[in-house]
Amino acid sequence: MKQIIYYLLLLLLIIQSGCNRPSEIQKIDGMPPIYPDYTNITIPYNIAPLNFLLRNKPQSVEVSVKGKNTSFVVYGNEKIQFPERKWRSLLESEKGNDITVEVTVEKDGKWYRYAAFKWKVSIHKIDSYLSYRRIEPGYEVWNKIQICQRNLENFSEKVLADNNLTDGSCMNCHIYNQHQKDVSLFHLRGKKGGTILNRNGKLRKLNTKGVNSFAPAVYGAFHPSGRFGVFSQNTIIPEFHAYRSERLEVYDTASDLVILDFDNNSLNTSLLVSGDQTLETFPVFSADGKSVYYCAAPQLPLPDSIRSLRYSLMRIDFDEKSGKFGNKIDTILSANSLQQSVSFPRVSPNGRFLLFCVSDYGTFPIWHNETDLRMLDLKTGGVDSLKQVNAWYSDSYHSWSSESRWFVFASKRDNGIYGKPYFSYIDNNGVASKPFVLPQKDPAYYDYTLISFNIPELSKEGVSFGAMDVEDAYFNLPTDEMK
Amino acid sequence: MMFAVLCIAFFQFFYPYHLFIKEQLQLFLFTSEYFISYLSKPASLASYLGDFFTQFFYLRWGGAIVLALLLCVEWQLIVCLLRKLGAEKNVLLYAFFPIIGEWVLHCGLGYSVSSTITVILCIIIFLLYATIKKRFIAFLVAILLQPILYALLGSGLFTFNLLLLLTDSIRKEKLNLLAYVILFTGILIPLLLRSHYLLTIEQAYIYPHREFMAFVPPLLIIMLAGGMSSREVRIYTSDIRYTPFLFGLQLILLIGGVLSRANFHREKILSLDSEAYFGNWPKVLKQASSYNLNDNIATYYTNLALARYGQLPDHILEFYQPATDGLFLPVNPNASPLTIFFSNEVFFYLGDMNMAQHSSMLGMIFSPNNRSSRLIKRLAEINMINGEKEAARKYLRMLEPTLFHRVWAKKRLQILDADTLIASTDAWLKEKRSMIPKRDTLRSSTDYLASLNLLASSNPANKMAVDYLLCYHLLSKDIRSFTNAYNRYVKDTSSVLPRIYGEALLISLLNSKATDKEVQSYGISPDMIREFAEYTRLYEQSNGRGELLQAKFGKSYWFYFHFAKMDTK
Repeated sequence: MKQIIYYLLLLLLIIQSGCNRPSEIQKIDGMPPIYPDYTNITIPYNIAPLNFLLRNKPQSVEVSVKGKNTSFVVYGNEKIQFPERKWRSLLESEKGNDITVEVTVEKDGKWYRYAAFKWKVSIHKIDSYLSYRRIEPGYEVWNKIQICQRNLENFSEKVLADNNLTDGSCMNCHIYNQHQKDVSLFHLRGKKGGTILNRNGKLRKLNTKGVNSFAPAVYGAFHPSGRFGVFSQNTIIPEFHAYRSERLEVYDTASDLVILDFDNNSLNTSLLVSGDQTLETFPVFSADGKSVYYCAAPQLPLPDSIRSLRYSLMRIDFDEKSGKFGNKIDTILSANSLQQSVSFPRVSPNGRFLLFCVSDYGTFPIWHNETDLRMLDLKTGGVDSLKQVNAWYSDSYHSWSSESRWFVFASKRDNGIYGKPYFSYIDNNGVASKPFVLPQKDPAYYDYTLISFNIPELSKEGVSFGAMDVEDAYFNLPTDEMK
Repeated sequence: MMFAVLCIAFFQFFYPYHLFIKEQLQLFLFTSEYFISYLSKPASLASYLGDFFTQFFYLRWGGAIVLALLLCVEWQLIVCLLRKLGAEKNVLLYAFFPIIGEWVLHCGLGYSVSSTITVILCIIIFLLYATIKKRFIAFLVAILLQPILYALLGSGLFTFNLLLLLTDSIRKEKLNLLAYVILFTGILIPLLLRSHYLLTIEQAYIYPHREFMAFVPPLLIIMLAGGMSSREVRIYTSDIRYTPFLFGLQLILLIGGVLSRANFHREKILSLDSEAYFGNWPKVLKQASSYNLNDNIATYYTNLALARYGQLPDHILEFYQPATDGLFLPVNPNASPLTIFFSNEVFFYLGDMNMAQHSSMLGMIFSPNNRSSRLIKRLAEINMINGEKEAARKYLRMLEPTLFHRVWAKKRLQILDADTLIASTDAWLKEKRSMIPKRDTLRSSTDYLASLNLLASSNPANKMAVDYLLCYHLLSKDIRSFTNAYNRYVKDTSSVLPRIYGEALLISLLNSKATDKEVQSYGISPDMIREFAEYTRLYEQSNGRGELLQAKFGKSYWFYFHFAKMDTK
């Protein structure tokens, strides 16, 4: 017996000496140099582990995670990857509480402990799925594109569409109705392409270019009923800047709005939102479906006057019974007053807020470094500059969670070239929190990827179709023409 | 041994640049994330090892030695396989037939080291499998191996299955049911797993190969194995009287195959490109002069080399000039991936960093695996020059876990850390930044004149941009624009008048009926004026027949102006 205990102790000693534990720790006042930056953020209780790495390449890392009810310690070299089960139970037990995170590193034989930071665990969960387009930031051309759906509660990702299977065609945003998996659509270009409409897992292919239209549908959104969609039809011209970090400029030489009736396969518009004098784009329904918000600018000689091209935020009524635009247009935010150009309006599902982008001019904010997000309070009319959300480089293309508590947006804040999805929380006072990036299993993932995450959209459930269904739709589905 | 020496000698002395470009068209990282990315497609092990070995193509001699070694290993494995089937004499010679196929295929750009590794791994796995004595267990193992082999070797699965069925049919007179199950499973597996790997049907069956010709070496192995498994064939083939015939046949096949598959014209183009990439501009010029190719990419690099030494207007017409297509490589849906890959160079050296970035992005997008060590280096440089530190850092970080580019990356990370946009301590950065446009404009990606005008007006001291602008006008036969640009950027500077400018100015001055004083103000030599007079006289006498003027004036701008045919497409 004594011998057994002796050997056990010896074994324990050996194991203990094999694991490097902090000793004689020196304190550092500053934040640890972790990447991604997950310091002092608010997180949903159903998010996947926030794995991170240390930029200063230490020999060993110890991370202690302490909540009111649960705590544990994780060890690593340069990277910290939280065990998923422990992580889930931590967040479940700490809903509504703060978690204190302390990072201690070993560098050149010495241990240093950085100032602790907090994770505030919100009682509001985020929609479980995020879809996005993965595309090389090649400006006007592409080679490999995928539309993917990521489960935000873990690291699993499903490919919804892969252009390798559809003649290398371009694919655009995948949008949902009311964050539901049962109604969604995306545009699939190419010879046999069309707008792929998903209704309860059944796919249809639509030709959204009507008889008198000059272009197929581009930007758009569903009506809350799911029956209608409002879209812009754009003639898009890409051109290139010459000066330093200004890269691509994309402008429309023509753009109008149309309503698509998915039940009747019909398309209609109004003289108020179509025509040569004004450029209308980025339409979206209000939360109650009774109006359409969109952006509009007076037509100018382009590209010469590009720096004078500024879009205002507008609203026009929508009559669900007739499926037509109303007769009255309101200017919600004037570009002249703002001295900025508005794009991508998105209304929160509870109808309270409207998120939009502002840039110095133009209609393609993703390549404007100065692009920032703004939030309009539809009750008070006040505009929040979202200082705590915005960063250097473009912050754009946002979408709301179903409960209007979270929003996701595409940001190029890391380097100005490669966009990633960031999440921000809206508290009870309508104040947005510091955003955090979509976590990856390997925290070095963003360092080595040459792909941008584009057009992020949240949904409550995962869609039932996949890339092979889209391949089948591309090659074999007949196209429904819009009347 | 002799084969290895010959193989190394061929690829090192006659065909090295096809190997250099293969390394440039990929990026191999020693990270776990990179390794895991291979699992998203079949043939993961073969592809990973193939790309691992390809990174050594960066070194001079590296590609030749690696290829020779791999082919030697494959050869030995085939010998083992044939001996296992009972072959004894002349085995080495017969086993060389698939190696000939490999050698010939490696002369093309579409055949990768992964394809060779697929064959090697397939034979190794088969030889290990063949040690299983009990037939039933062997079949069970084979069935279980089907999806694993597909995941590791891709289409190497078919080679394995065919070898298995062949050797089994030798042992027994007929195949049993299990053999058919293996055959059927092997055919079905790519179809069944296509949805997992997101491949088209064709891709699912040929991966990791990119062309059907890649099946030649494994087919030859199967045929040899099939032949050698027959006693009669073994007796016949072991007759040493056939040895000289075999040897001769193989020599003919090798030489004939290489001559038909190898593209020595492209090799020359790639030599110009690679030597430019390595910074050996004197060698580029020397090779351009000796090759004297009628090819727009060759001209592209020749013009670049000339311009870097300030000699573009002096020597431009000594080389083939396909109008302006030798100044900028047109990037359009019909352009080859290599053209797109090369297109950024001119913009980078001229100083138009935004277009250089756009072209580099395109080049990378259209690389076989959408990753390129060379273009990532270029993108890092561009962003350093533009002062976009974080973007530069991203690209430099990507190079840190590479074998041959980490030192380059580390040095630039140090420059980056020391650099401020305004006061860079690095001379190269300072010089490059002085060339970039000082104001903005919008232009399409193919509006080269907008780019050149902007560069020249931003920095008239950017001689390369000015020469390109002037030569662009000359090659487009736009004498008026040339004259305006010349007057703006070159006239009244102290530079010596290059010949082509003088010749073009004479045309312009004649057209505008300039006075003697105006002519003198350009400093054109009396000899040139006399030559022009003689040319004009002969031209008028020739009634438009260029052959009368070719001998004396074939390299002059006057001849180009009158007789060069512009492509109107």
